[in-house]
Amino acid sequence: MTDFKTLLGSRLKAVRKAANFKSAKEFAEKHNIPATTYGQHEAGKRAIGVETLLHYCDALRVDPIWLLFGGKKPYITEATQSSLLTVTEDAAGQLPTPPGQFQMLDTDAVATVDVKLYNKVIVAVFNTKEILEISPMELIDFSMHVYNNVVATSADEAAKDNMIKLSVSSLIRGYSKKRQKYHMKISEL
Amino acid sequence: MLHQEALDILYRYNYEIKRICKRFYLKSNFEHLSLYLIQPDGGMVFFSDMPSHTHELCKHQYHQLEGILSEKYYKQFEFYWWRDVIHRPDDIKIESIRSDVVQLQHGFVLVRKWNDFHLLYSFAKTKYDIHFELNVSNRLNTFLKIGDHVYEELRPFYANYIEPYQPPKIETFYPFKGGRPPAYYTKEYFITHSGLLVPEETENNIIHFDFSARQRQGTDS
Repeated sequence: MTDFKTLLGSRLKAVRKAANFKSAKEFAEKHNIPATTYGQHEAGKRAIGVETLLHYCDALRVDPIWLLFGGKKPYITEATQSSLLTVTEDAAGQLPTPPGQFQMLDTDAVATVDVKLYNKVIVAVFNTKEILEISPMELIDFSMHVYNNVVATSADEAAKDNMIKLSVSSLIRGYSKKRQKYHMKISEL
Repeated sequence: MLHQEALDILYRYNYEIKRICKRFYLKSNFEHLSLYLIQPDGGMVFFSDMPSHTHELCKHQYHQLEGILSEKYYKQFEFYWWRDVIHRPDDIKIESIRSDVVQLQHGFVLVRKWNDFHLLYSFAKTKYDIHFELNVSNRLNTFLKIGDHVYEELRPFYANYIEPYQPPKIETFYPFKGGRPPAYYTKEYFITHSGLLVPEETENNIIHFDFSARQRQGTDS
């Protein structure tokens, strides 16, 4: 069974080629990434941190959800969709996973993810997209924050559902306030 | 005693707290901030950018045993490291929540005593950083300002849970002094508690070192 890092690395390699970077080194140099590090990411030998993954997605204009899990629509825009190269069978489609769980990348370690909980969080948070007109990147960032702060508790399922509900309400309320001016500037520190 | 909605409060302002705190993470090199707010009657309300940590402490009633929330420390010291406090019996369980569940280290607490409220600003990192503690020691006022700012942003929410009290409004910055937390008061508190001395306002961004005693003795610094 091909592991998660290898599959993710394969997708990364595929979209890198689709973006007309002939070599990993060329892409790494252009985006100020250590070539060795990037090479290991493509080879599936090294875990990718969340911020680095989002940086790759931004550089390659690729959907982070696709890069993580595969699926049918890797690209954010229709224009870049057409430049996709045919990917190998290993990189496309769903991951083979044990029931209920799969491995997910963390900054320094690989952790086991509760798929059911993660799906609940993603659906609840992304349902706010049309109400708030908020960027997908910010939603992903907040989804991960909510997931990490729910899964780490010993609460039962009902309590976790309540945590997700409260967090989403906080997002809806808090995002509208984000547009107000702040009195304190970081430069004053 | 913990507010009856304490566990819900941690997640009710999840986005607001994360949005407020993350502006400071990179510049000030920390990754976690919790506000432990204690009313004059001992009631407690908590806000945290890592609600899972505080949730686990509260759910298992460890907040009663947690050293950083002990009167023994927050009434006696304006600053203390997590590692210097002693938890009552369940040390291992409390430490394991920090190190294993949420992986926090290099934690420290700054204390404000304001209108008989105690405002505890608890900072920490998730990664080992050999320079962090020195960085903290050299920039305590920066962390105090961050704590004051975050508290002021959350004060309207805090007010919803502490009737009949009104949360103190921090309008002046008082730099770090050390020792027992100095008592600061708003003008309203002064008016309603006439006869209490109000400390003079000081410059808000400089720590003064008094070398005059050494100079009078004629010794080198």
